[in-house]
Amino acid sequence: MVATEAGPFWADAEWAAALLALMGPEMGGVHLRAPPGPVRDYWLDRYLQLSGQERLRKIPANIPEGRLLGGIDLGATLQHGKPIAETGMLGECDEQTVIVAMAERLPRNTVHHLCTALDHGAITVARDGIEATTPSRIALIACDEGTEEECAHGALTDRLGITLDMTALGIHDVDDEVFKRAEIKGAGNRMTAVTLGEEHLTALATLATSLGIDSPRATLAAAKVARASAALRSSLAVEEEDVARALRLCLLPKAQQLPEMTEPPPEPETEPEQTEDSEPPPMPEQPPPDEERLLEAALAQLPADLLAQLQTRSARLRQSSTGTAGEQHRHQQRGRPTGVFRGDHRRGGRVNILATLRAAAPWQPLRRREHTEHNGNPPTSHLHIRRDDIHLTRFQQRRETLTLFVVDASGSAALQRLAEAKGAVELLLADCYVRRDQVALIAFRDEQAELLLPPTRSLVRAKKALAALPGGGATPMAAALDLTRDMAERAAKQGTTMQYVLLTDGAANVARDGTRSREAGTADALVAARALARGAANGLVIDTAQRPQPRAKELAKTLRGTYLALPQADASTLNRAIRATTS
Amino acid sequence: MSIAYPFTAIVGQDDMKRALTIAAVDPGIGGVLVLGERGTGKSTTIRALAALLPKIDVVSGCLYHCDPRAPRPGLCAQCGKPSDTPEAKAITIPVVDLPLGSTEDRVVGALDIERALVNGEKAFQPGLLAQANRGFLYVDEVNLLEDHIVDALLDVAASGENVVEREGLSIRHPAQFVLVGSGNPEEGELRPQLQDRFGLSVDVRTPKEVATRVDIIRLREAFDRDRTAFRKKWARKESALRRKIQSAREALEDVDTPAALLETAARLCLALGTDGLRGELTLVRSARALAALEGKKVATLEHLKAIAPAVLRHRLRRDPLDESSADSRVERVITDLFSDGGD
Repeated sequence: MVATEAGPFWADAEWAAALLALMGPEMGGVHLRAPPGPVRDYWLDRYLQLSGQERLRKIPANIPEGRLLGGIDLGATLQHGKPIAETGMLGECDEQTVIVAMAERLPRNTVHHLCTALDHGAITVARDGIEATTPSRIALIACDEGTEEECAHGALTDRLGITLDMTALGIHDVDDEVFKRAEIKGAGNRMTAVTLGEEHLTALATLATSLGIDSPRATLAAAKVARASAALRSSLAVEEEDVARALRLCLLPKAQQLPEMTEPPPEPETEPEQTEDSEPPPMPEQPPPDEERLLEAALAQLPADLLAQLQTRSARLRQSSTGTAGEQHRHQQRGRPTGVFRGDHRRGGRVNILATLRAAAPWQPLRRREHTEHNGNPPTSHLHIRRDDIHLTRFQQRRETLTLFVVDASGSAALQRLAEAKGAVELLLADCYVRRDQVALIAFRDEQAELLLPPTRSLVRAKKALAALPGGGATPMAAALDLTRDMAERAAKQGTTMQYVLLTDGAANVARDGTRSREAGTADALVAARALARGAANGLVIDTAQRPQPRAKELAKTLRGTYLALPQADASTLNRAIRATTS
Repeated sequence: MSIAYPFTAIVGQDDMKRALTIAAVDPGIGGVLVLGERGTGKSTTIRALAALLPKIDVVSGCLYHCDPRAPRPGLCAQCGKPSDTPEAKAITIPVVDLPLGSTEDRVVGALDIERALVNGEKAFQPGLLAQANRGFLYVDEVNLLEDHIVDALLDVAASGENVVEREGLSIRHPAQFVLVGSGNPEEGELRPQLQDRFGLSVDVRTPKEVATRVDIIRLREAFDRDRTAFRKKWARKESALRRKIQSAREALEDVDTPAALLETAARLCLALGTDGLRGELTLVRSARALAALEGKKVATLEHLKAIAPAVLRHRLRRDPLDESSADSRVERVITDLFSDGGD
């Protein structure tokens, strides 16, 4: 039925579309990693054909919470003179498949509401005078255009059964159609009768463990997909082929590690203890499928570059699984609403309808009477709202602050410095709930500067990321400053105030093009420093050299930053210095 | 509403299940905080608890679920009137969801705008805190809750009373609830003031053994395929546990707490350097609730030891540079305390 020889990967995409059409909300949805373009459009079209759904409702990444969940219907409320609820998008899309574009940019609250709908098939709303539980059984296609650093939030992807990576596919890879709408319908009737053998379930669970997937949701989805896959093959029992497909679609893309293929597969159960006096345990009639073979076969069907990506990603996934983009996005244009106040809307600000109505409500009979007395005839409009009824929403004024540590990890003293920086990061984070600050860390050594800890407020996460920091090698100062500037620009775009703390002895010796030379390195570093100084970020340069040299001071001057010589800084002195200088 | 997964069908996660049942036995313990990674069944377990709770008597028609047998002063304005002879009605202990994105007016309650606009009446529309009175208030992803909502919660959780002074209203009503929060610690820290409000705190992790994982998947898949049938299959176990909670609630007052146990609790808290008395009180109350749950007449050291990590883990003074987990610190102190003839 499936042409596995030609374009095996497109076949998987076709299967994913069919499986989603067949299972719908049952499997959560599809995490679709693909840039916008013909391949993605084609796949979405295929899905529509197979599911018979007319169109896909689209949830924009910047949807306001009120629109997503429902709230007060402004027009109807004003027209009828009493509050009228409006169903939010999640409620409107009940029993449908919806698509969310730019899933990597979703604000954290939106992610939460989508997760609630996926988990419970219903959402509870308690806002703007409305309180309701609305059914919202949705399946979600989350289009993720994110790069390595920016990806859809882990809480969301965890709930989407299938992950489909089409980043590497071109339009030439698109292959023949395999399924027809009628077959999907037929498979739907077979679904409940399909049996999933114990050995296959164990195989999936073992594979998930060996791939380092902690959440049972992925395995659960794999089990369901295996069942659905058998139904689509018109079979009544899950076979190895279905397990392999579930592995490719549900487990492999979520892998945190690739198991060593040369070693024997991890033995799940402890060996049954063989005691002399008891009977040997009955042997299972069929040997359990060899998980390693399955895995190997599944890997062989992935495009080579995807496999390479998987390998490089595995380490990074751990830290980026909590995608940060959305969290910052939430604060960017308007901050958090923190209450309402009486005010004049013409001076700017967002009118809070509900508070305004509340303020106007007690006066309505009086105003109606007043109007009748004044004009001699009863009023035509339902509501009398005056200027001093107007209430505005107050948003949090305070801006977010991000402290970026840029740590020189080169040379012999590197380990010590890294440990200090690590301590300072943790100390800063430890009181971050008072300051509400974010912390990030860049380390540079040898050829490159690397963002080791993306902006975070979580101590747990920071500790994880900082657990193992490599040290030693040359000093690519220019690269570090360039990356710092990148971060500063990104922070500025998000409305975050960034300050950076550069810990170095100032001895740059790697140029931008990677050549090792003290002169070129220093020259490039100064160029990069001037570019960074043009931005808005404040800097603090901490000279960590045993005997402070003029070069770090020079660098601080070019950066227009504060210079501090702290040859024997420990974490708490460092923390005090940073707070004294920057706050 | 969708059918909840049965509490008794949740594989493993004994700490979380025990903490939640204890909170159901003695609501005075002060709530449960459940922290853990994704996919550990935090939210499933808490929602499962709702289907398991026994019934309580409330004043019929009261918006705040006032207890008909309670002394008058603690009740809402309506039920507190001396002339009324309240009519009782049995309801299941409410579990109220406080969803993220809730606005303050719906949490604490506000002027009933429809009645104000249409009839010109000044009436109070109670919020989620009123509905949660004598029940549970559940906040999923509690660490993402907006600050001003957290502030409202903190005050009410401490005083057991919700005071509304807004839009010309002046209302106070009882709001005693068991606060249950869950969250993923990787997504941000919880404000310490809020963390303090929780009586018990549990860390949940995903089980690593393949056999356990297979069990989880098998049960969950069976549930997803036919929810009604699945619940029916577990109904006997569910009602057994419900009866157990019910009788523990009734027996709670008769559970004896030996003086030696109080002293041990005090020494344990002292050794760990927890602030205030709340740790000790919660420790003793939890041990009693656990004893009641096991049908025992006396709370013993074993009960205390079993519950100590959940009571104390979030009360330790934070030391960001101390890598050892709170759990191991609690355990270390327990072993130290009881190995040299402490009991």
